[in-house]
Amino acid sequence: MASQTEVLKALHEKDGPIKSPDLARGLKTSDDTIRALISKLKKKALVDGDAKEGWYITDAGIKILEAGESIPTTITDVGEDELSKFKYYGQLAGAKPDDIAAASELFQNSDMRIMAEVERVLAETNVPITSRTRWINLYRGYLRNTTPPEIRDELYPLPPTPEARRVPAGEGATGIEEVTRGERLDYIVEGNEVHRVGDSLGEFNFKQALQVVAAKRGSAPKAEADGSLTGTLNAFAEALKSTSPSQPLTVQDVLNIINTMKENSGEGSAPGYVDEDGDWHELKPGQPVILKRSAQSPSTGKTLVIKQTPEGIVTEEHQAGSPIIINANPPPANTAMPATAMPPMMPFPVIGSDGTPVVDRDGHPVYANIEPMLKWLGFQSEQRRADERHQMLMGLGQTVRENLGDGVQALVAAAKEAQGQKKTGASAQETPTTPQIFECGDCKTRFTIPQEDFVQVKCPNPKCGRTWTREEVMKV
Amino acid sequence: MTQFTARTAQHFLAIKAARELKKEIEQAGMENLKLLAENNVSIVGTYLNGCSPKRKAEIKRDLTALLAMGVTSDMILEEVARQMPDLAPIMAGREAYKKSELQNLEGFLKQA
Repeated sequence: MASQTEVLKALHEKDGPIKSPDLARGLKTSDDTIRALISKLKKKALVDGDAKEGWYITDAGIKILEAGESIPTTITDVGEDELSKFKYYGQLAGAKPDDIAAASELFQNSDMRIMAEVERVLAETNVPITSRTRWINLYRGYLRNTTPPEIRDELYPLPPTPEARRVPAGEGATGIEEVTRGERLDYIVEGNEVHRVGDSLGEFNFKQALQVVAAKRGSAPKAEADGSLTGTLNAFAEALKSTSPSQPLTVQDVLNIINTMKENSGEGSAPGYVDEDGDWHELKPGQPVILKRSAQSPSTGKTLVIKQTPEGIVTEEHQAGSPIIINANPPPANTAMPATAMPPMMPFPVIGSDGTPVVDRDGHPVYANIEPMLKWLGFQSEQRRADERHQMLMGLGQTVRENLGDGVQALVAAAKEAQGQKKTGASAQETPTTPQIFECGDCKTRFTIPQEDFVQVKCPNPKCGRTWTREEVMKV
Repeated sequence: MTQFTARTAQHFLAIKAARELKKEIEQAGMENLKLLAENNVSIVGTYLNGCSPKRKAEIKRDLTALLAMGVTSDMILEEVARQMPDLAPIMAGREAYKKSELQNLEGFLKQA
């Protein structure tokens, strides 16, 4: 659909006047549309001419195009019918072109002179509340101006002023009923959001809408018996009553809401206490709270004593007050403990550099297991002794080898022995032999052996009388 | 040719063994050996009994090797007698003693 600007551009591109059918073909639109647009442009003195000679652009039109401006829609561009006025007031209200087009489509299928239908259409198209209110008010004024004065207020009554809304019933003399935002069905719920769709055009009042949203979110506040809300939500709803539904919230309104909520919350924060079961009890004014310190019952925990016995580790329950006897005796030899195993280690406390026992994080003394260290020291001592013994044996062997005679020395010794025997034999013939004296091993009695060969000799002591063989005597 | 070479090798080995034996005999002294022979004391047995086990093993190894190469105890003793003329009067007329000495030496080699 061509616009006034496009028609103006088309005329500016041509040197001479152009007739409406040629413009329609160039802009690919109908002749009626071109004629309507040309008529609007002519009223604004942007084009001039006639249907016979053709149309041409004026100097004012050229200026607008050169300035890059778009041609504004004025009241003169709007038709006198309701739909044209509806669209025009939408533009004046600041609604988006898409919302205007959608509302216009719905508006054509309704009774366009009933205000309820107007509000319904605008609510269904989700026109923002600010532009919607302004749109409704403008259209209401148009309807009132086109209605006879006798029935004007009856058909299209003016909405109450904000001041009149705040006047409670009974106090005002104007007769305007009290209307608050929270009591009329002005709201609908979409998703989890509350939208105000107009006076009595919604499905819920403000409280109910909040309840619906809370129920959808799974955090519905508990309603009291009369249906009113409780807690912070109720305080918020009550605080909103003091504000005007048709005016945006000001800083003062926000402060009033906060103060109202504080006052309301102060009522619910009565003093109380929580008992042992976690239940909360409210305290009345002046009611004392008595704290009782119950006597601590003796510990029912059991003390276990772990003993190392030949049968293994035995755990026994220790009676309170009875002594704990530590049996430090070594286990009997017939236990399964290996022979090389060390006896069980006694606790060996760790002493710090300052001479005080070392304790852990819980304050218990720290004991060290030095058994591996003792085993290592024992192993080192054993190794050292083995090395010394080996060195000693090696030295002894070396000494034996050094002192052990070889074959030559054996020959020399044998020769000396033979030579000695030879000399002894010669001297024996010259000097009488001295008998060799022996001593009895039992009675210590001295005796001699016979010169001739003998098989055995008897101890001369009559009390002993032991018989010694030749081999036994010769061994001595 | 081969037999000649083998006999020459045996001869040189017998000379070498007799030279080693001569050193031992000279250390012991000829008078001592003569005294032992006169008293019918076995020189070979006394010498071997006086040696250390290590020395005994060395002697047995050498004599076994010589015997394997065909150098017998008789050949060594003959060579010793040739190198030590003073020993000849001692051994003269003592065939039984010489035989017993050779038996002692063979018995020593046969020991495990």
